[in-house]
Formats: sequence, structure tokens, C-alpha cells
Amino acid sequence: MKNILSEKAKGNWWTKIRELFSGKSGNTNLNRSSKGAFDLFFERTVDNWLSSVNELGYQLPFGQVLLSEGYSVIHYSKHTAFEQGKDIIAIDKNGVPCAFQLKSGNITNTRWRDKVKKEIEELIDYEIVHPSVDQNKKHRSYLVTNGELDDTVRLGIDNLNANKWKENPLQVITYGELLNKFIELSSNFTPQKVSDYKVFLDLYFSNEEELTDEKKYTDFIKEVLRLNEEGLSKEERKRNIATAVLYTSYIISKFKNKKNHISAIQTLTLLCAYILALAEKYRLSDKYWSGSFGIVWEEMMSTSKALQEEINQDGLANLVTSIWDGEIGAYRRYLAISYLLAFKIAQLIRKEEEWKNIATDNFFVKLKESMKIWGEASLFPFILLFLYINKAFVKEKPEAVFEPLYIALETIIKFNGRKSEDGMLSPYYDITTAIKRKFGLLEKPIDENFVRRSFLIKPLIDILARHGKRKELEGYWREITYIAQDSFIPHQNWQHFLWRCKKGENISEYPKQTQSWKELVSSANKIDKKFIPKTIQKHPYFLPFFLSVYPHRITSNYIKFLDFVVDQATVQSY
Amino acid sequence: MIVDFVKIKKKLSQWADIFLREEIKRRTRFASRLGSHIIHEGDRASYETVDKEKKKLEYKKAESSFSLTREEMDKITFKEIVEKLKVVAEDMARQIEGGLFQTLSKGIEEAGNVIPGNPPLSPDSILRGLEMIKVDFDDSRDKPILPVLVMHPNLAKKAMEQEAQMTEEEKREFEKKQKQILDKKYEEYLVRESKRKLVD
Repeated sequence: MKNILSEKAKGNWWTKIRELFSGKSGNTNLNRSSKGAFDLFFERTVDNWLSSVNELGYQLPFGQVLLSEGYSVIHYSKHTAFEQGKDIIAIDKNGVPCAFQLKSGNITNTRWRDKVKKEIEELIDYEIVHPSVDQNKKHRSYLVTNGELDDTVRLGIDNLNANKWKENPLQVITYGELLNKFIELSSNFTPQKVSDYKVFLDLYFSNEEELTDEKKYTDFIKEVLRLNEEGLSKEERKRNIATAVLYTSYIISKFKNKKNHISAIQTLTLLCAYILALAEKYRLSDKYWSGSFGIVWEEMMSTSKALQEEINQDGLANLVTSIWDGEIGAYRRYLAISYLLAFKIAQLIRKEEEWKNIATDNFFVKLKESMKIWGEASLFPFILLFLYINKAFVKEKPEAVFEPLYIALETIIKFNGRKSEDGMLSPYYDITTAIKRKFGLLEKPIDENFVRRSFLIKPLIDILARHGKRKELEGYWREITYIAQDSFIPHQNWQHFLWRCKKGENISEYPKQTQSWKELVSSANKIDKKFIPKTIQKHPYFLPFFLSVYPHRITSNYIKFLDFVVDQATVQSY
Repeated sequence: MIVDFVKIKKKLSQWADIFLREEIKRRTRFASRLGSHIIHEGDRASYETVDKEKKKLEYKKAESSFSLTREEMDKITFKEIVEKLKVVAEDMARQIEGGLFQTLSKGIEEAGNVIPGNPPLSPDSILRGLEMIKVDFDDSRDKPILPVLVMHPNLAKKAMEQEAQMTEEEKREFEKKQKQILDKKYEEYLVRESKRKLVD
């Protein structure tokens, strides 16, 4: 019994807090004399965080620190073999290219001799090959670790810097310096109220295997960004973005440690959306936000890549953790596949070669078993799947590529049509609610009826019309006319990025009973850019992730735009 | 402070909320039959009728409350709270259903669906009403989707008495006329349905 209790205590919230405040994890030299209680608590949190992450866990905040110190980050590691020991490449304020290699933990003499030294030699010796870097300029090399160096290692580096590496000496950043940099940047927003601090701790200590609580996270990050505070300078806005990136890094570190890629991507998507909200609301020029957005995006990409690798290595088949996975497993597989599809469409829009590397029969077998339908929000991956296979297989199977769209449309007609009694949950209800509802676990019953209305039906009709599917739509039209087409239009474009928006119009319209095909196609081909935030127009590759996390923002206009940008990407690159 | 049971109180408040909603539903038999939508965000809403008429949704407030002094709070039992919630439910239900009928009456008048002369309830007036409205079918003639008759309990009692007093021949005549109207309504339905299509 004693053993069981002590095992349980390992994951206990209190034991973590106790460890945190007793400073067990820390080896910091912070000056505490003038700090308030929350500052100290907060510093301990950062200390705890930094001592518990590996190099992947602090890469994003370190990139943000560099941006805040005036560097331009031009390469952010995707951890491939071609990076020649350079995890981050940046150009400093004076135009000097700098290469950083990130490590975790203490570097002992053995570790240095057997592994790290060789990598550092590559870091120093191999020139930076990048279009933004002048190859005639010698780069500066940095070894960064969230641990310490053994004295012998330090002496060895001093010796090499004085001799062999004299022309390009290695600079070293270790735990204390890193911690101070993170705390300094984070102190732009230090929780001032117990409630703020509690929310941060709730997020920081929330279950690492679950999804992020979107409302809780966005309420918190809105405060960090000071989104509703007018009159701040643009430089202040830039600092607030930097701080938001750091706080988010702390929050997602548990996901990264657990390799819960989906929750990390979900949280980073929310962060990106709120950075865009700030940029859009205050009309910030790129220099104030795009650097931070860029490194967060790269972090999303490398995390998505890790998700893809997990799926490739039979992660979907081996996900079972309890007897309930016979039921719950399908929802978990759905999440994995939906985020993977968002990733692939983003790559396609960015014209990255790897977009096509899941187009195998083996993958489609996995996919077939993972497209779980649990509400209207779960139909968005069907649209992504169509966009994907339309580009990958349109020549081989011109008709089969439309199957996902027909399945989605038929599902709406079946569950939300005139003969249905209950209806699918609207996109305002998430996957957790859907699972709770299915097993009678809701804290509060859902007092809403979904029959004869749908948020996704118009986007599906329009995308089929854009692709000339008249015959098929004719077959569905009678049933379509019974279903009202719902949408929500936020009052201003920056509000699209808010998790919930106080101002805006809920619109419910019926399609015409007798509909002219010509008119339908004409309207389906018209994209009203007035209702698409400028930042999305400029960074359309973010849209697949944005709509996956914010399915309640899906409108026909967004789907038409997505179809358009995917189409454009293909035309130009293939 | 004296130690408290905050979580249990929170659960009880959640229970009270659900109980209140269920009691209101039970008391709004007509409104509860209709589908309800929740406005999750935004400050405005508009909708189209099936005839494509655009309308702005006007929010109507329904509210009720009860108040207690600290002394009363200190003594009130669970059973008494339940009784108070039932009173609130009754008040809310009256406002919700009353507001709904007001809106409905306005819409019926605007659409010209009031039986001319406002005749008293009789088999004849029911048939005249049926003639005036649009009737849908569940794809076949023998599955009409007939409207719900809503009436005051006194009137309902009177209607049942009238029905009981009808002779067999009167009943057959009523059914025959109703069938004729529904046959006509089915024709109209088929015409309407044939218009639900894509054209050039």
C-alpha cells in the first residue's frame, strides 16, 4: 500500500508545487531582494520549467530571446540531418551571422569527448549555407545548454578558443544565463493577482496527456498580450508578443516532454491566432510581430513533423492505454489524422516538397479507420482530405477524390436534415463535449437542437460547385433546401481570432428552393476578401490549423479561399 | 471563517440550474416542442424564413427571482428551495410561452393567416384553418405533418364535448372533408417539392 501511495504522490499537484517552491530543481543565482511574492513564485516556476525540459523544450523561447535582443532568426531547426550542428541561425544587430547549437543537461567530460565536441566542430567549421547569409562573413558559434559544463570541459574550450578555434571562438551559454534571459523577458507580464497566477499554474500543471483548455488559455494569453489595452507603443506590443511566446513555451513544455504533439500544436495555433489578432487590431507592421509568429510557426511545423513520424511508426495502432480505448481510441485517432491533414495542406500551400509524403496506400488504410464523425467540427478534416487527395490523385482517380465531400454532405443531410430528430453538435461544441455526451458524462445537458441547420453545409455546397459537381448536387438539392445555413460573422476582422467574440452577427439563411446552377457557381467562385483578415491573406498556410482549432469560424468564404490558395500553390509549383 | 463545503455547494447550484431548466421545459409544452438554438457569441442575429424572408432576431428577456434574508438563508431547507425554484419556473414559463404566442400571433396576422370573422371553435372552423395553411408530408400522402392545435384548457374541454356530441354521420362528413383538403394539400406539396431543384 505504501508503494502505491508514493507512486500516486509522484504525479500529485502538491508535490510538484512543493518541489517548485522549495527550489529543489533550481541552481539559479537570482537577485531576490526587491521582488514581490508572485515574482519569486514565478521565477521558481521558470526555474522548474528550465530544469525539466530538453533542448526541444527551450528552443522556441530561446529563439524568442534572440529576436528580443535584436537578432533576426533565419533558420529554426527541424532537427534533420542536414543542419550541420546548427539548431538556430540568426543575424545579430551588426549583421554578424551566428549559429547556435542547443543541448540539454550537464555536459560532462565524457559527453563532451564522445559526442558534443564533434558536433561543435561541425558548428564552427561548416560555413552557413543560407540565402540570407553572406558567405564571406565568418559566423560566430554558440553552445547553449540548460545545464552546466564540467570544469574540465570549460578548460578544454578555453584552450581550443585560444588555439585551434582562435579565428572563430566558441561562446557558451549555460543554465544561469539562460534562466536570467527567460525571466527578464517574461517579467514584461508577471501575474499580479492570485487569480492570474492560479490560471497560469492551472495551465502549467494541467494534465500533459489532455488537450489544452482553449478558453482558459486564451483568457490568459489575452492578458499577457494586453490585447484590449489601448495606447501602448508598438515596441511595447512587440515585447508583449515576446512574453506571450515565453509563457506559452512554459505551458506547452509538459506536452513536449510527454510527446503529446497534438496539444502542443493546438496551443501554438491559439498563440498564433492571438498574435495575428494583435497585429490585425493595432495594424502592426511586420517588424513588430512576424519574427515571433515565424518561430512559433516553425515550432508548429517541427511538432507536426514529429506527429507524422509517430503516425508512421504505427502510433495509431499502438495508442491503447486502457480498456476504454475501444471507444475513446477512435476520437484520439481522429485528432491525430485531422492535425496531420492540416499540416500537409499547410506544407502544400507553402510549396514544401514534403507535402506529398503521406500519399501512400498504407497511409490511406490508417486514414480510413480514423475519420471519426462526432459533430459538425469533425467534418472539416473531410474538406482537408479532399483538398489533399484532389492535388495528389486527381489524375489517377478524378471521381474518387470527391468522396470525402459527399460523405460529409450526406452526413449533414442524414443527421441534421428534415428527417432527423437530434442533429450533430454544432462547431461550437468540441470533441471532449462530444465524448462526454455520448457516454452521459456531461455536467450540464445540452439544451440546444441542431436539426434542420448546419454551419458546414454551405462551405461543402460551394466547394462542390467550384469543382463543377452539378449532377451530384442536383441529387442532394431537395434535402439541402430543408437545412438552414448558419454562420457567424465577427464585427471586425481582428475578432476572427478571438476564441469567443462579443460583437458580431449570427446569420441563418435558407438556400433557394429553385436554384440556378449558373448563379450558384458564380457565387461559389466569388471570394469576399473583405471578410478575410489581411494577416490570413498574407499567411494563408496558417488557415488549415486555424480552422481545425477554431471550427466555429468556418464559413463558406474561408473554405473558398482555402480551396483557392491550395489550387494556386499547385498551379505554381507543379 | 468556519470551514466550508464549497465544492458541494457548487454541485448543488449546478443541480438547481438543471432542475430549473427541466421544470421550465415541463411547463412550456408548446415552446419545448420547438427547436432551440443557443447564441454562443456575437450581439446580433438574423434569420430567413423558409420563404426566404429575412428577419432580425429580437431578443426578449425572461427573468424571475426570489430573495432571502440572511436569517432565512440560515434556516431554509432543501425541500423549501425546490418549492421556490418551482415558483420561479412557473413565472419564467408564463413569460416564455406568453412571449412566444405574442410573436406567433403577430406573425400570423402579418401573414394573413387569421380565419376571417374569427369564428368560434367548431369542426368547420378547424377545416377552414386547415385549408388556409401549408401542410407538408413525410414524402407520401398517408404521412401528413399536421399542425399542433394549441388552445386554452377550457376551450379544449369544450372541443372534446363538441366532438362527443357529433353524430357518426357528422364525423364521417368531417373526415371526408378533411381528406379532400389533405388531397389538395398533397398536390400543392408535390408542386412545391418539384421546385426544390437546380436549374440552368
